[in-house]
Amino acid sequence: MTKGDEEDPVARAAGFDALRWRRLSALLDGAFELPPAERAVFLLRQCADDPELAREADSILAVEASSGILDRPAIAVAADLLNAEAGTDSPPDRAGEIVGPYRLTALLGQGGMGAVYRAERIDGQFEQRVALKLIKRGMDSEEILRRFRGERQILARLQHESIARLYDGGVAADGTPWFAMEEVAGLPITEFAVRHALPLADRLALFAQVGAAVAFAHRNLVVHRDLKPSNVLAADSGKVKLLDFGIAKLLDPDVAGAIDAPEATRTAFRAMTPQYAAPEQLSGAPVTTSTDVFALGLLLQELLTGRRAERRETTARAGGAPRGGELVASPVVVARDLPKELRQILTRAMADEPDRRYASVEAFLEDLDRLRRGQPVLAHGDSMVYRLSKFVRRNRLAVAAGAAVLVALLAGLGAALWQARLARDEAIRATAARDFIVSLFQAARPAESHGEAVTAQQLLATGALRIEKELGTRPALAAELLETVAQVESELGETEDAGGLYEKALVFRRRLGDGQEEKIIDDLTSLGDNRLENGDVEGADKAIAESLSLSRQLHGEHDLQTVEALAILGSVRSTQGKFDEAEAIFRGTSRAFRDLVGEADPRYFSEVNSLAVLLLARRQPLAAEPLLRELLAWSLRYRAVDSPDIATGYHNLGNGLLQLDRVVESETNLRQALAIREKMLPPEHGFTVATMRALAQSLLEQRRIDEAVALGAEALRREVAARGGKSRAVAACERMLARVDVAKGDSAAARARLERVVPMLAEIAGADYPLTLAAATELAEVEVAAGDAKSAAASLGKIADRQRATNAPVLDLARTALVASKAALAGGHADEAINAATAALTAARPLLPESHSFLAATLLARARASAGRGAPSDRASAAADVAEAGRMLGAIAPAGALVGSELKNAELKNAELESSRIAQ
Amino acid sequence: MEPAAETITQWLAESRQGDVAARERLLEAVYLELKRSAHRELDRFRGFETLDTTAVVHEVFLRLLSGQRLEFENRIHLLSVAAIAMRRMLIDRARERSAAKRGSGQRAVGLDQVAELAADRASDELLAVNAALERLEALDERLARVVELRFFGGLTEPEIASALEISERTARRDWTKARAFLHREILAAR
Repeated sequence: MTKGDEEDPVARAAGFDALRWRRLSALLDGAFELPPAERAVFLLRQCADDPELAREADSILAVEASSGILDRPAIAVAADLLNAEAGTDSPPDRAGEIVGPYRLTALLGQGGMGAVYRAERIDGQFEQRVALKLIKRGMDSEEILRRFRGERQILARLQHESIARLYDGGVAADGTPWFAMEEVAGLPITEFAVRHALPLADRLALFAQVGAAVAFAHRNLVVHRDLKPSNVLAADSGKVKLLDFGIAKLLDPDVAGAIDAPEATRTAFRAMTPQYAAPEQLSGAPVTTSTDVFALGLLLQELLTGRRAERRETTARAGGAPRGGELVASPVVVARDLPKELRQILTRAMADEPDRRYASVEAFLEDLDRLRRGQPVLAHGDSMVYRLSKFVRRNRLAVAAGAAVLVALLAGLGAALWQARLARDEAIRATAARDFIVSLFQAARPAESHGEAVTAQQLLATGALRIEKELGTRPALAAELLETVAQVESELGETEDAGGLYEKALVFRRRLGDGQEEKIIDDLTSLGDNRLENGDVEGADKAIAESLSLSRQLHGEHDLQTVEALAILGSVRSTQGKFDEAEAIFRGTSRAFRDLVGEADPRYFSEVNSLAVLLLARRQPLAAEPLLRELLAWSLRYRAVDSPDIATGYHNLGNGLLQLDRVVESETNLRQALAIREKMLPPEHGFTVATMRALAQSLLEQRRIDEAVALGAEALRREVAARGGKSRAVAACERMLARVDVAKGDSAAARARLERVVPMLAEIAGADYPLTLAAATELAEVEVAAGDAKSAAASLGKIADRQRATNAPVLDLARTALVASKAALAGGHADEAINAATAALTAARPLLPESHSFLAATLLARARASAGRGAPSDRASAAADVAEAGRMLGAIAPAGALVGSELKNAELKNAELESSRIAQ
Repeated sequence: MEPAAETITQWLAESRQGDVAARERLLEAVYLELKRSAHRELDRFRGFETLDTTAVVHEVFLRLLSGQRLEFENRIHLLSVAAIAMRRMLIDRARERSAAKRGSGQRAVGLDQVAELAADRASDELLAVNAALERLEALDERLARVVELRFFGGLTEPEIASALEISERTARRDWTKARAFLHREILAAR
């Protein structure tokens, strides 16, 4: 294929033979199955022999995400075409006629409101050419004229370089109202932007002119009411002029004083364009400056996207033609292919309710200006972080640097490039960032790394060092890159380094001073999150306190940044054991996210998730289960295959089911979670380890002890290797393994483990932390089994006191009571043992399903105590307890296998025999 | 002269059995009715961009069939004929406009000219889609049909699947591929 062919699509398409198309077609099918970030590499791999084909496929894939003509039905595309033709049966050309002191010289155009002519002044006073608008017949001429006289002074005062002057108005001999206006040459602003292929920055500058003119009019108490592209013209010079200012009000029959206009006239000639009308205009509610804010939002969106804004279908449509007075405003669909901040700005400007829009056009413009000035381009690009981390993750073992790396990396940066067009300085920054990252990867080429393979993590670490050293003079860029690397590392679970990077980014941001507040808030929130993840609860609390107070000052309560900080605060409180506070925060944040960003947004998901996890931690599995199922369904619906959120969904549901003793179902879910996590995360990632541990627990409950040991030990090994010997996760693994020891009959080993775990947890999380106390209960249980009932009984009393004092989960208290019962019996206090077991049962039954291994174990403990007392009535109640426990164990099998083994105990066998006798 | 509802049903059955002449007659009837309906719908929704294919096609069917019910297969067949008719109708319009524009040569722009400009743009866009679609037709007939049914005919994915006797998954995959291909072609031709 020659170069010349490439420039002509027809020739290029014709150059395809059937075989080649089939190959391209199959290639595209394969690529579409993959997430966008992975496609470039896929193409390179598939087309090693045919780079031309790869380019071809790539150019097709490149446009997939952007919207185009085909996304609207053909008939909607053609609407303007059909519309123009339908308009040909419009009134005759009146050129040549005299209207007021003017002669019409040429028809300029026809519109819904009437016709516009070029006209000349004929009364000889002075030479003047104007645009003269003849309003359609049928409107109340007298009323319009009366109003025009009333408003004339105001409109005459409206002198602004971007507003077309209104000179005169009157009623023609045939009764048609007319207005004479400054004639303006230019294209509708949207058309102008398309014609000149204006970059985003220029479009925003153009829009700023429009906004300034509207703001000026508002200060002079004139609302436009009918802003739309055809009323906003741009001349070749790039100067903008707004037409028809104030006209809409003159023509609006709803304006006070026109109440006696006939009903039909009122709706038919309400001077506005439905496609650009604000909801209050359609519903007939008062029109204010806020109406223009809405219309400006629509105009801006059309200007930026080149497409007329989509408005969602409403009931007016469903019923067929909207009848007079029944117009229903359809909410505007904010274009998805705009950057996040612009979408947020547009959403605000085009809110349905005027109160929720920008308070003024100035406020709207200011926000746009902030976006233009201060918002960093690289750091905020979630998709870039996502792609980059995904790329690094897939190449975590060794980055074979070379073309593939650079291609994929540049693809990852593609998202940033769009934003780079925002403003020139931003573009320079984006380019510098790209060059920097490219140079990083070049350094990883075998030649430059002396033939050794370099891991992606090493690359990132080197990168972070170099950012500090080489970009110190460019703090904004340095901060952005540090934030990017920190986010990538967090995604990879390399959380320790990430914290330091956020701290460094903060130093740069603070040095930059003004305009950095939002980034500082983000960094502080991320830092808090990071510290929390690394177990530095106090540090997390401090960072979040600062970001929260900054954000509240800057934005108030109902704001994304505030809610994001609050979300982390909820986790901090939860970690601190302040569960009620945490639960309240999570309920609030999940509501807030739903309001602010909608249910499909991952942040909403995350908060419901936190709430469910909290309920799990509070050991309320019955309450948690429906939430857990909702979460899993959510992630299966909104997330790609193998997404971390799907893994989380399976993991948490598996955990909840484990607490409910539904072990087989639990195992299934945990295995799903583990499969995804093993595939997508580094092996020693905290999440992977957590799933392994839960799965080991599930296996243990099924008495598959060897499998449980193997998996639990591997989880522990990975955890220690990655994060050292002291962590909650290590403690959790050890607790699980202690249960294995008990199951194997090795209570000495179990005791040794728990004696390590309890002080470790006390040190990390505090002596009163629920898990510390729960582990202490387990230690006491092992002591009882080892014959050390006395010291166990003493510590159990203290544990129970602390648990009550700290509002520990009720089930934890119930377990302490169960162990106390065993200790009492071992110490020869049967009555006390029966009472403690009864207390445990009473507390636990409402929180658990009818049959549960904990209840069975408690019943057996009580049975043993009763049997020990030996009176016939005692033997009968022991038999009843054993029988109930047996029933439960039968219902939940294979869960409770461990408890079930207790049934083999001789006394209980007797009680069991007794019970079967009673039953007969 | 409008054919009676019974005639339409007759043609439908013949067309489904592969009668090319019947199919042409059917197409012609739908085409004519479509021209009328599009304008009626347009008048009703002037200014709104709620004009949608389904509404227009539905009205065409109502009028052609005088409210007679159609069984599923016939409905699907009629829909796919309507898609072709719609394509013809819109492309004819766009060509007429494009020819007229070339004839007049001038492009005065002033107040309220936006409707004319928009119409020019719409006709350019439609012709660009059509040209790209013709290229696709040469490469992959089925893909082009999927586009015709969806973009011009407003058929849903399940309807496209039954019309072409493919799975919905394939219909979806075809659309994704064809859409990206065409958008690329249209961009390249600009």
